[in-house]
Amino acid sequence: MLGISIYKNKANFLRTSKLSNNDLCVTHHGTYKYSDLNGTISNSLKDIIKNEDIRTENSISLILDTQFCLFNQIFCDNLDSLDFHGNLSGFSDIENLDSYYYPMGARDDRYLGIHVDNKLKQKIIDSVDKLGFKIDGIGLGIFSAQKLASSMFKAKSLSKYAIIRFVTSSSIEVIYINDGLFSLYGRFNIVKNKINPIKVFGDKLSIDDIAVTIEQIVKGRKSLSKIDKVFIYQSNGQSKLIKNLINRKYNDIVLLDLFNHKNHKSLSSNVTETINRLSFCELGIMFGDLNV
Amino acid sequence: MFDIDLMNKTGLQKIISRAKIDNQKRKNDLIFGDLDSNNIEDSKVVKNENTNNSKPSFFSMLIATLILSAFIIFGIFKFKDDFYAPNFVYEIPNFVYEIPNYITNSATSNIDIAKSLIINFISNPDKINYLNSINIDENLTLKVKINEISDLNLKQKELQFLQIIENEDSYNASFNVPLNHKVSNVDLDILLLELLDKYENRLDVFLRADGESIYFTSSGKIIYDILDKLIFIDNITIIKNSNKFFTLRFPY
Repeated sequence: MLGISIYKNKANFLRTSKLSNNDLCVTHHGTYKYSDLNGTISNSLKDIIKNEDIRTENSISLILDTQFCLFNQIFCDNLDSLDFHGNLSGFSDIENLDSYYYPMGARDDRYLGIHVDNKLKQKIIDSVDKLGFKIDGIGLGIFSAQKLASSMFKAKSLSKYAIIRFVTSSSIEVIYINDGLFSLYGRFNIVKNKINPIKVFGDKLSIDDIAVTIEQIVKGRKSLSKIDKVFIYQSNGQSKLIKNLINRKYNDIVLLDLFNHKNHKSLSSNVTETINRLSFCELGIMFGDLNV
Repeated sequence: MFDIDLMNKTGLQKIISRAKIDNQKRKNDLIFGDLDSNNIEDSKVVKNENTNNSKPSFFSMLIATLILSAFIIFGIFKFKDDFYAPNFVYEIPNFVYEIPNYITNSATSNIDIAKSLIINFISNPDKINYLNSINIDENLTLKVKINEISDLNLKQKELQFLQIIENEDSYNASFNVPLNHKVSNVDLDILLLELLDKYENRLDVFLRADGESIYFTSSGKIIYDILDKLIFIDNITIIKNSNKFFTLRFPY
C-alpha cells in the first residue's frame, strides 16, 4: 500500500506491506521537496515511483494538508437546507468548492463544514490517473493523524483526547474527541505563551476543555486536568515545545512519532530527525485497521 | 469518529464509526524495514517485544512454587467444605477444619453469598416482590434492601448479614455484605465499550446516559450479567421497575 501526503512544498510518502501473519511492514518512506504546490502535485507520485522503484502498487492513498481547505460550522436538520446554510455563510458565493459536512458532538444537527477547491482536487486526481494509479481515498492531515493515534497509540480506549498539530512554531491546529465523538476543530496562535483562538468550532464545554489543555501544555505541565491525553506532532519547523517533549516521558502528552510509537529513547536521540519524522503521522489513515 | 474521504459525494456525511475494540483479535506488529532485502532484522526495526526466551530464574521458580502450594492448600479446604462427612474426620487433621471456619467469613465467601442474594432477588418471582433496591456502595458493601422478612427462606450464611430495621418507612430489612475485593487496575473504558457493544443493539436492553452515570434497563438475568462485569469497580445501584425489569445505574 502506498500513501502520499501533499503539502505546499513537499510530499511525504510511506509504503507498507502486509505480511502473511497480518503484521504490517513499512518498507519505504521519505520526503520529496518542490518549489510550489503545482510541482508537488505534478511530480511527487512520478518521482516516488521512479526513485523508490515501486512496481507492484497500482493504488494510492492521498492525504491533503488541511491548509488547502476552508472550515465552517452549521446547524442543519436535513439536506434541503444546505443551500440556505451555504448562502448564509457565503460559501455558495465562492465558486469551485466541494463541500463536505461531518457530524460534530452529541447534537444531531451540528456539522463541521470542510470545503476544498475542486479544481485542486481534480488536478490531483488527474495527475494520479495519468500514471495509471487508482486512488483509494483522499484524507485530510490532522484527521488522518487521529487514525494513527487511535490505532497505534491506543487512543480509542480513551474517553477524551485531542490531536494537536503545530503548523508552525506559533500556530496550532486541534481536533478533540470526546466519548468517541468528534467534538471540536480549532486553530490557535500562541504568542508569548498566550493562546489566541483564530477559528474554533465546537460546543462550549469542548472549547473550554481545549483552551485549558493548551494553556497547560504551553505552561509545561506534565499532566492534564481536563482531558485524558493529547497527541502532538509538528508538520513544519521546530517548535521549542515539541523539542522539550522529545526524550521525556509525560503520561498525558504523547508525541505522534509513527517510527517510535513505543517511545524508545534510543530512537529519539536526534531532535531534528525526530521532529522530521513527526509529520509522517498524517499518513495515519494507512494504519487505521492495525491492532497494535 | 468518522473517516474523511474527499473522493466521496459532497454534502452531509452521516456515516459515523465509533471506536470498537475487539480484544479477541490478534495483536499485530508494525515493522520498519525493507522487505525486498530479506534483511528486516538488520535494518532499523521497532518490533513489539512480547516474547521472552530467557530461562526462568531461581526467584521466579520460587514464586511459582509458592503460588502452586497456595492453590493446593485452598484445594484441600474446598474439598473439606464440599465433602465434609463423619468418616472424613479421622482422616483430616483438626487444624484443617479450623482454618476453613475463618475462611467462611472471608471475602471470597462473601462474594458468593452476595451474588447468590442478588440472583435470588432479581430472578426469583417470590423474592422480587420483597425487593426495594440493591446497592453496592463505594466501599463495596452490598446492600439489598427489602420490605418483607417473612417467607424469605434464607440460608444460614445469608442470615448472618441480615439486618432488621424497625420503624423504617422505605424498607424493613437489609443485607449488608462487605465484598472487600475492589479491582483498581481494570480498564473501565474498555469494559464499558465491551458492554455497550454487546447491548447497544439489543431490543431487550435499554441504554441511557446522563452526565454522571450510565443506565441499563432490562430483565433480571441481563442485569445480573452486567452487574457481574462491574461488581468490583465502583458503586452500583439496581432499582426495580416492575417485577420483570430492573435498572442498573453505574456512575461514569
